[in-house]
Amino acid sequence: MTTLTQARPMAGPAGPSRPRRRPGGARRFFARLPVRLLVIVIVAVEILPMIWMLLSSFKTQNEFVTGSVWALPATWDFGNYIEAWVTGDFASNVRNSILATVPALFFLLLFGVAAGFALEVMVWKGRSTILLMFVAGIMIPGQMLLVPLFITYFNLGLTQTIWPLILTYIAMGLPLTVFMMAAYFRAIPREVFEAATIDGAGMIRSFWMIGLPMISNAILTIGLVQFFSIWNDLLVALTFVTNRDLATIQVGLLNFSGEYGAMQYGPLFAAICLNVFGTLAVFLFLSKKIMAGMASGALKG
Amino acid sequence: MSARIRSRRARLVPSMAGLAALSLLAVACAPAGGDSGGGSDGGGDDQGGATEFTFLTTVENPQIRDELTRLSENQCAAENEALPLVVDTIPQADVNQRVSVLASQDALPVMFVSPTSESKVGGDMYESGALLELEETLTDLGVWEDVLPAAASTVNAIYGDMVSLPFQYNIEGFWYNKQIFADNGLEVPTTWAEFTEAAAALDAAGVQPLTASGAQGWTITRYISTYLARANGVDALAQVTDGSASFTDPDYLIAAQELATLGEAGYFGQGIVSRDMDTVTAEFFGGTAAMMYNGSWVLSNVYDEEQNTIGVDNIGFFPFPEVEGGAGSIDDYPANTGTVTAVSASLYNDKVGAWLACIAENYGSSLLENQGAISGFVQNTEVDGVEPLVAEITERMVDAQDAVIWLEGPFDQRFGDAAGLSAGSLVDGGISPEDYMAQIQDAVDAAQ
Amino acid sequence: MRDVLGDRKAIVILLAPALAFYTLIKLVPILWSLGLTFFDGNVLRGYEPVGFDNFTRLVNDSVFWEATAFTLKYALVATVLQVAAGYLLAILYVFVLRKGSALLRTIVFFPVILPTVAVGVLFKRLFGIHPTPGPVNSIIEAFGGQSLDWFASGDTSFLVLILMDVWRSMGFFAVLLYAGLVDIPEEVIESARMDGAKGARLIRHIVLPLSLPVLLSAVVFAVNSTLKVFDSILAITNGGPGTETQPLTLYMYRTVFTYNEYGYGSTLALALTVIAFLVTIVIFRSARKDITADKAAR
Repeated sequence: MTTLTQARPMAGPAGPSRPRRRPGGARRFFARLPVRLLVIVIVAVEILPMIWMLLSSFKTQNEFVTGSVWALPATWDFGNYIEAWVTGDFASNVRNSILATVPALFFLLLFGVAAGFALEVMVWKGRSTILLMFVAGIMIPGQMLLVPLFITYFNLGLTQTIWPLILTYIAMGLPLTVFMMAAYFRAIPREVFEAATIDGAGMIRSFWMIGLPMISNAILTIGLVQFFSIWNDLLVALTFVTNRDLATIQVGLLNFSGEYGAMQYGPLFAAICLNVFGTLAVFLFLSKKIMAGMASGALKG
Repeated sequence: MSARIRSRRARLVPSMAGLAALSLLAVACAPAGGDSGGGSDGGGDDQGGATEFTFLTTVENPQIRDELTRLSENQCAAENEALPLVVDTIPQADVNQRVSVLASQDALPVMFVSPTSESKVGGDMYESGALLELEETLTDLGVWEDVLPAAASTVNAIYGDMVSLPFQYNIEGFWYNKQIFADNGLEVPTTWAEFTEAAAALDAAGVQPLTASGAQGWTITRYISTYLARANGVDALAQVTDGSASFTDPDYLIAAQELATLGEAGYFGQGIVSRDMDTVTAEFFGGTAAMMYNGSWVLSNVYDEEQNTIGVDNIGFFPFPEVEGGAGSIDDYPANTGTVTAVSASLYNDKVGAWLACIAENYGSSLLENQGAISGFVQNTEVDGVEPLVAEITERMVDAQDAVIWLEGPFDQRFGDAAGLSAGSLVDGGISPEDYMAQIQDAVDAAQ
Repeated sequence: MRDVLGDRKAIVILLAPALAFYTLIKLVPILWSLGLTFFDGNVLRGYEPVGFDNFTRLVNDSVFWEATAFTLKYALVATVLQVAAGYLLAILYVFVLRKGSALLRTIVFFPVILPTVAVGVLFKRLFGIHPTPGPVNSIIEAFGGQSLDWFASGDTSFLVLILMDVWRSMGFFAVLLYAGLVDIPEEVIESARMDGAKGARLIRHIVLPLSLPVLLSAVVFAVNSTLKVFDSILAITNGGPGTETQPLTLYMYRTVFTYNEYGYGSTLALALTVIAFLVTIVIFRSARKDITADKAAR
């Protein structure tokens, strides 16, 4: 997840503000001690829940409910994972989540960046009204959309398909994306685009060749935020998916709750671990590729 | 980024915009309704009847769909040939919204879970005429005898009409740990006084007497409704519905006070407000709590060796004790028939009828044999090796007199939340019995 | 040049897809819902016009006012703490850890990717008391204190919810603000250092004013997500005990989908939207002012 960095070079390693190495290693160690302790505490606060999740995924129901929170599981067998894979129909849930998320994210970012460009860089009457209209969308609670949309999708015959998810995710993500993109474009000096127009580049061309590359970091950040909000969405997926074959991962997690309020914690956490650590692995792999692509682009551009 | 890539990207723009326009077009021009709606529209044919036996059930209840699938492969294979079973699932929390919307679009499946409060006479689902009257239908099909009379009367008592197939039929009462009772020299209590004495004795001996879940308020509100049924008769709630009594009356308030007294004494242990159902069952089946109010569906936990660490022989069941001098009888059991499973009136045809007849004849025995669970259908085939506790519960069901309706049963959802969300607080003292009863009476009044 | 920047064809091509999706799938359903504020009923029973009845009911609904008070309190406290925690982390990344902060940034960001179900169970267990005391109560006991039933009262439940939200989103805000801090030119900070500014003084007089724009956009973002907090509260307290931790979104959801009162539910949604709008406008106004002032100063 190094893509989170928005990396821009700080002062080089030889920067004058960097504390100089002193011969007294011990003094330096103690000077840095508060910071180290702080980092250790932060890391513990973030990592312990991960460990807890992993431990829980190996526990039996009794161990989970009555045992101590940090107790180790009695046995390390993969029964819960098998249960999660079979009962939860995990493979098909993953497929559905990908089928819904990837197209939605792609079009969301494309449309959002384009609209942000049109609203911030281009000059025309009424653009601030339109921008305000998009911004207003951030404030509207999503629960309001459910019934009208369900009726519409139903009458269009889309309810037994994955389309309602894709369409709704795009529309729901747009306000924030447009707002943030407009904000990022605002930060780029207008002269850049004005210079391009003198060169004779059409606006579509300068969007594609100048606007897009200049905010690739921002796109990545927003893309990341939107990815997780779509991937972890339950409200929309719950409302528009009737068919078990179309259930996403989050809907699939409901398979582990029972009719009178009971919950199968072991398999539930096995499924969550598969989801979280799986996403993390794919993500780390992809982010390397993206970073490499961006770095080369930046060098040549 | 090389110039070549750039120019390719530039060419991509119009095609992207085109693609976007196309996908919008696809949305706008997609066929309206029709078969692409698939299973959930019931696959109606030209005569208005069903072409598939579509069944919409809850994710949380695998029991019914598993058993119907089994029947479709065995006893009901012929019916399934004529009208194939198609199962769709939605989460329980979504039933209210989804089923109403489907009904408003005239798109209900053949058989479906229906929201409890809306399926009662006077409720929106019922009044819309979407629900098939099942007593008449099953009588015409010659299979009405296959429904347990007690189950039928429970459905009728709750909904005012036979709107639900009794796929589930449960009685409720106290499950207790025989070993703990024996160790402390306790008998099964039959009166409320004996019950509180037993709890006090257990508490003094260092055993947590009771457990219940504040996260699932019904495990607590049942104490109130059943106490009222014992003290004021099975029609105690009906009197509130028709306005002749109020929850704030002294003889109603006492039910909440008794419950608060149990809580105040610490009999339920700490942290009841957020306690979940799993902790409750784990405590009882792990032997740390002596008694638990719960329904007969708990039998599946009883026979699950992994959960039940105290042994099948150590688990007993006793009905909610009598209140001395009360108008009710200990033979009136709190009963329910699970989530409403209704049949669409408009999609009904002979093939659906054939399915219903097959279900009525076979479901009872098949469920007991394959899942060890009890339904509201008569067991037509002798099932061997029935566990003794299952046999005992079945016997109690058959002998049951009147059905005690649960507290939220006769009222609307607003009442359900007013009662359920504060139930844990009533036990741990966060809300006084007076305020609690006033709060739920307000919900009754608001609905009128 | 103006002509090119105002090229109508280009504007249409760039804006049309977003506008079309937004209008069809968001605006139209919202207007549909808002129209319902003048009706009573639901999809099944049909609707009948009731004029302004829903609005008079809203004004007299004590549950609505409780939920509004809770929502505002939650949004205020959560926003301040989230952004503050994020800002401190960002300062830690940029000025203390420098290049070594990549791993920590990733680790602190991690909770964002957790499903709400998992976070809900986690916090219930962490603050649990029964049947075994959770880690928080164990720590309290270790220091000689009395175990606490955190979910038995509205105030302690509120505390747990706030802690959850800060834990969950501080990594996100840290990354957002980090981007702003990295943009501060190194020379500015260096010259301030030469002038003798150090530590807290440097942060307060140089770094804080310069990162104000990004800080304010973080605040807008935080306010809008905390005003609409929904699923995490549903998962941890379910609005309880009673309705003491019930935010407007949950009350609205229950009114529409549990009580089948679509008209009144839409009225609640409208109220929430208006609140969010007002709060945002106030922040925006001050933000705009500060940013222009800041630009002028540069």
